[in-house]
Amino acid sequence: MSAELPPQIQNQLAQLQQLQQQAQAVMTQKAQIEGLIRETEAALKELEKSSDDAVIYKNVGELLFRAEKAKLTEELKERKDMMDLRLKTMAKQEERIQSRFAQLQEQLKIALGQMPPKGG
Amino acid sequence: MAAYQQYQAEAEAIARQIGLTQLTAEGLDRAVTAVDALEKAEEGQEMLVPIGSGSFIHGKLASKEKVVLNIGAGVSIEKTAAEARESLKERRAEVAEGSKRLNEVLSKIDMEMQKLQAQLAKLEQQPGERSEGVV
Repeated sequence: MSAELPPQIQNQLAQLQQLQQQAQAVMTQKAQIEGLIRETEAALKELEKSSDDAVIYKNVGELLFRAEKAKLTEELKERKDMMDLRLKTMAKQEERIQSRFAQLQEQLKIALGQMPPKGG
Repeated sequence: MAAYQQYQAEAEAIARQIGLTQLTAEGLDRAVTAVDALEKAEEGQEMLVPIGSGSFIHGKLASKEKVVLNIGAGVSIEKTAAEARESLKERRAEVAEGSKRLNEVLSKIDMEMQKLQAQLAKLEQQPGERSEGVV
């Protein structure tokens, strides 16, 4: 079917497909970050519940190193802040892609509407 | 056809998630069994410590009261055996609930796919309007 379409429309269709792939990739990344944020929040909650003299370890590869609760809590909070920021950036990126997608879709609709009807 | 493919991709993704959930559940069950076994064990008892790939090193049980639990985000916390058991069982229940929800979603998608399949089969049977290569 695409062989019958003018090159400009074929190009727009390809762009649309590319945008769709980009949107998918951003959505996957966003879901991953959201998962990590949830995990960090749960860990922070668990740390909060523990007593101040609780024995805490930080996982480094397969090893567990003894860590201070306060220091580790601070580290997790910083990590969460960074992930929150990344999530915002990704959301903006997703918005931009979606708006470009809608714009292109509209252009394509108009272009397809202006095409002469198929003879037959 | 596009909707069918979309459902199929979603169903595959959910089936993968269910598989992962199953692995997590099995891991949690193994951990609960190990914590339960601590009750009957004795401190100083000889044991084998897994180091991966079905390999072990010799060790002795230093404490039957303390268990170190992973709480996510690269953090582990020491708990009493009883606290650890409770925490692991809570997580097991959460995983079971998640798995149940995923199975429900999968059933719904499966039903939608069956409906679409029936519609496509009907279209194929209509004379003069055969859509080749459907499903």
